[in-house]
Amino acid sequence: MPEESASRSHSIAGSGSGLAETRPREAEDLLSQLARAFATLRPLDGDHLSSLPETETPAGVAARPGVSETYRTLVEQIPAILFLAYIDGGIGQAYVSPQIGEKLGFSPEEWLEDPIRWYQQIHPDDKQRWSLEAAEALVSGQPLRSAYRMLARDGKTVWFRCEVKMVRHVDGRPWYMQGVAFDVTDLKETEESLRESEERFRLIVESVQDYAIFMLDATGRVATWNVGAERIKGYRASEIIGRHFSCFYPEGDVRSGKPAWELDTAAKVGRIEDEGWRLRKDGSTFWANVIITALRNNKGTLVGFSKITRDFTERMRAKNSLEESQQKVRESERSLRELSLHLLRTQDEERRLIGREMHDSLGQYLSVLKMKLDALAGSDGTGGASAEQRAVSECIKLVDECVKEVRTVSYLLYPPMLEEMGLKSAVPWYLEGFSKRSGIRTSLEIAEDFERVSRDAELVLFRVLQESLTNVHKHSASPAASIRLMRTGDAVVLEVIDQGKGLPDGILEQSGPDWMGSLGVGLRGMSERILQLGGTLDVSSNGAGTQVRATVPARESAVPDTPLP
Amino acid sequence: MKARILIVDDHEVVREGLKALLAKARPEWETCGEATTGEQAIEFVRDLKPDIVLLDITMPGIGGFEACSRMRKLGLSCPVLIFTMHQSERLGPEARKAGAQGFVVKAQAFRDLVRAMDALLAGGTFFGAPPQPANPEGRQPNLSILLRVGLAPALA
Repeated sequence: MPEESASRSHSIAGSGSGLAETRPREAEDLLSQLARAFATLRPLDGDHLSSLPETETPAGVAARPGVSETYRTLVEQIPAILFLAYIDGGIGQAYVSPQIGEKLGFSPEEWLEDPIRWYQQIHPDDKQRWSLEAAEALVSGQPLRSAYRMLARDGKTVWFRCEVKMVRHVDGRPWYMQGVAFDVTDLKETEESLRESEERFRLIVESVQDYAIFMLDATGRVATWNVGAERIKGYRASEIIGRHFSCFYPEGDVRSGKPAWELDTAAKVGRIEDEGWRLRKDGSTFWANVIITALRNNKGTLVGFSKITRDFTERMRAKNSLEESQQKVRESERSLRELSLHLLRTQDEERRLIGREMHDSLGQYLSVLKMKLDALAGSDGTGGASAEQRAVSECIKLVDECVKEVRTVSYLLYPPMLEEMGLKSAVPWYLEGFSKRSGIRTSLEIAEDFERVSRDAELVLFRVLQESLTNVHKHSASPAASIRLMRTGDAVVLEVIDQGKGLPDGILEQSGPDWMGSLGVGLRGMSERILQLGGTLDVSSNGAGTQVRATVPARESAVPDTPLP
Repeated sequence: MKARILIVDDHEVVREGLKALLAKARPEWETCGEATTGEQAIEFVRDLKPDIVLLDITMPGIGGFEACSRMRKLGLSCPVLIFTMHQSERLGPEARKAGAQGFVVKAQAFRDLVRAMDALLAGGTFFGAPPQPANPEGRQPNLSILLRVGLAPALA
């Protein structure tokens, strides 16, 4: 029993529990102390153990009044059962301390009145062992130290740990036995439940399939193996136990000393986690997540390592393919964005060409046509009374209409004034027309010394103005809009503010480019163009109106136009 | 009164129309040169020293306003009359800023051009052209044209 206890305490040192390890030791210490104390009682037996007959009192020992009672009190306070029995005396001369009543439910008198009760009450499963141990002690002359079970009166099992010593006559004949028995039921139950939980734990570990869980000794040799290890790595327990764990690593890792480095690190810092390729028995590889934990006993000595390995191959593949598809999505987003920018620029350019063509060619022809018709009609332009002169007059009116039409359309397509005179002229020019068309009052705030900025910036800001005012007109029901155009450092800022009912709820809360979509392709496209120029477009809205604020660098952007592949 | 005129317009038909108009109204005037870009206009003003320049705004290269500004910076002081398709209340201030002495809208050339040139040749200015009775920006343009060029939204 002591060996078994010691080996268990050793085996669980690694699991961190000191309970089973310390308690038996303490109990044993206490036991032997008590045994020694009890032994010293012997010379006074006759004095203080009143149940012993006077005649059996060893000779030459003087009676000391009071001492007997003192010892009895002392003995009966010990949380253990003390007993004494003469080898050649009857049971009537035996002694058992009253604690027996508490432990087994028999009074000392009851216990002693049946000479074989003490034997009957030994647990049937322990009787044989107890007998052998008792015989051995008797023969060897050594004290009997044993742990065994007794049955209480109510049938409960009580574990005792006892130490019994034979006291002999001077000539060596056995005289009497004295002993002490501790109730160690709690300890035994703890040991048992610990053993059970260890067993359960071992069974769990062994049956885990998804994790290779095994132990290495301090030098890195495989000491245990579980089902998961067999499944993941392909070795049976019999094939791998005793082999060095470096056989799990690819050759390159072994050459670079990785296995040893991992053990060293785990030993130093307690634990190491690693991901990498590992080898199966058949030479194939898998992507492993590995955790190595150093195991130390209670003295701090390294006794080995636990190693938990998971097969992450699938997970890694899934991660890689997710990353790949994310990359593809990003790429296609990027090319879509480039495409849309390209389309926007193309659209701008086409509008500009059509607008200029109308203005500069068709418009000029019409102007000259008008000149000639005016000349034909006469200097006052009203014409005479003849049918021909009335016809010429009609033609002049039609040409006037054509000129206006061409001017308006070309102007909206691409304001020629923008290129000629910049925002400072083109914006008021546009606002005049907008107010007349829409009935919405506009006010413009622009610095007297506002200068030309880059052509891209001018065009984008002008388009933002057009789109914003379109929104004001279509959605806001605002009677007026105020526009501010200003330089702030290296940037140009355009603000379009209305006093309308604001954008519909929720539109601005939508993240991403979607909210721009809700405002119409126009402003969204502008947002892209502005971003490309290195600027920003902010739209804020509440019940009192909407504010569009565009900021673009005044000079050529550092972001070059990306040509389409 | 004789006068030497420089006509600057990138459209031949406009230049021809102008010459015809001027020849009929003031036969004693002479067109001393015809330029088609702003840059060329500056050269011709410097070399030909005309009495008056008729200057279009929208041309390839530097436009009329820029050309006029540069002439003034170069110290070329000959009177400049802006002659343009554009029509806006902004035109007068822009023309003044560029250093021109007046402007005439092409559609009103027959009515205003000779009057304006007379004024400038006499050392005066001509910014007083009364606006058109119906401003072209004040009415809805033909929607079908706008739809065809994808511009309907920009109309507001």
